[in-house]
Amino acid sequence: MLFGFINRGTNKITQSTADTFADLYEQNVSKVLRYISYRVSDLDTAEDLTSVVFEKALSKFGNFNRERASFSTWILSIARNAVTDHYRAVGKEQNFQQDSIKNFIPESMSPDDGIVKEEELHRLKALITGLSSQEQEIIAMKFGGELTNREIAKTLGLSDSNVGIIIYRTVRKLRDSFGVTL
Amino acid sequence: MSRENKEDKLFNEIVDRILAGEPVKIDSSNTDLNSAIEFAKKIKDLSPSPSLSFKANLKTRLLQELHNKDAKAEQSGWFQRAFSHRLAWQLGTTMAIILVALGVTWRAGVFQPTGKNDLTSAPPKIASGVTEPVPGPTIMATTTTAGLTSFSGSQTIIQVNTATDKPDYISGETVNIDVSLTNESSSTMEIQPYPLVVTVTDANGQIVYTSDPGSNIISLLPGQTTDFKVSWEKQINTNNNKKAAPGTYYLTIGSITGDSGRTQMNQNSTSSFEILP
Repeated sequence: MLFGFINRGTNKITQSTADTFADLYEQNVSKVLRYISYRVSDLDTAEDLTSVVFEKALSKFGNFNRERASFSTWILSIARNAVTDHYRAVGKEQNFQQDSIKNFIPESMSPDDGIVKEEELHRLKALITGLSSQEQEIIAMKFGGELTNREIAKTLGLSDSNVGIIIYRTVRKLRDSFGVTL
Repeated sequence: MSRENKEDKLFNEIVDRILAGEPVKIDSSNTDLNSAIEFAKKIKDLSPSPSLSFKANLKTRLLQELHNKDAKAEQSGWFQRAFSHRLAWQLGTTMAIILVALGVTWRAGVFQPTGKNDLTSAPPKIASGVTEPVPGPTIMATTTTAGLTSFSGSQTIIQVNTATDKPDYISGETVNIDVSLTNESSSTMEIQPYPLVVTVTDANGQIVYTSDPGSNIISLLPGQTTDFKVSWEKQINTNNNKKAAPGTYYLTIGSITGDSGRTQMNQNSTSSFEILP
């Protein structure tokens, strides 16, 4: 054993840490909620899981290493695990119900627009549940989590080009099933 | 590149721009690609957002948790802070000196009772032919408080690993030393100065080389590791400016203390190397 002389440093979570976490929260809370909302049926569950994700991120914040991954990638990994744990707990994937979609429509939207959006969102989420788990995951990470193809590839162990191809094919598949004429 | 590859590459570039909120104008004559891009826009438009109240409430709760964690750390650290304070160290050292002085004085018999409370009185006469041993002073067990004991006990806080680029060297060959420090505590540690001083000693404990201390201060988060390198150029013994003699040499890591106490380091045992004849 050697006894060295090192400044003890602070045990305190400094104000700068709180500010940093608050900034990262603001930048990422929407992405996390959107990612989760592509994977679960109702808003309450999505919000609960979003809370769980940020609480876990807070408890592990001291161990976050910026050199290994961006905060977005890191927190979306936590979100992935939270969704997996949720489905493990509930025992099965939930089917989308019409009523649960209503909660995703902003209150500020006009009733007519709201109805249209509600209908379209219902159709979209129902179609997404029909995708393979890999396609669901990639669509949720791309359009929900707004990760780059490279970040998605690294998370899922795929190549960048593979992710790009899957996104293109899946969007066209969804488009065809959605029945959009453009 | 195949047509589909080109299309998906273009599609993905446009999707990134859509997600970034940039305006996108589609010029392609490829209706399939165009409709895919339009649908990607629709997916983005349909994506839900958290309500303002949810965002605000969750943020408030998280920051409150952070504050509570801070307050808890503050409370549990009062003991350490009290004893890392300079005045506490001075008082402790003074008490230790007093205890040592008392112990030495007691051992010298200054406080032994002498019958009539007269320190100069002669010992009682003993009947001739009988001798009794004169009672000596009672040896009092003394304890000293070593000023160097860390109040953190035996827990390793900083793990130090040293390694040379080779296990043995020919005479005059530069020895490259790699030092890594890992914070094994649950607190952020500041290390000053950084890089730490590296000392090379021979088998007799004589210092043959000391690296220059750095002028930086670094913070190590719990679990974080940092490393630095030092080179002992041409094995020059800084005492006599000559090449170090063949033999076994040892690495020691230390740094200059700050005002706020000392932290226990544990250095790996394999911190020696050989200079060959």
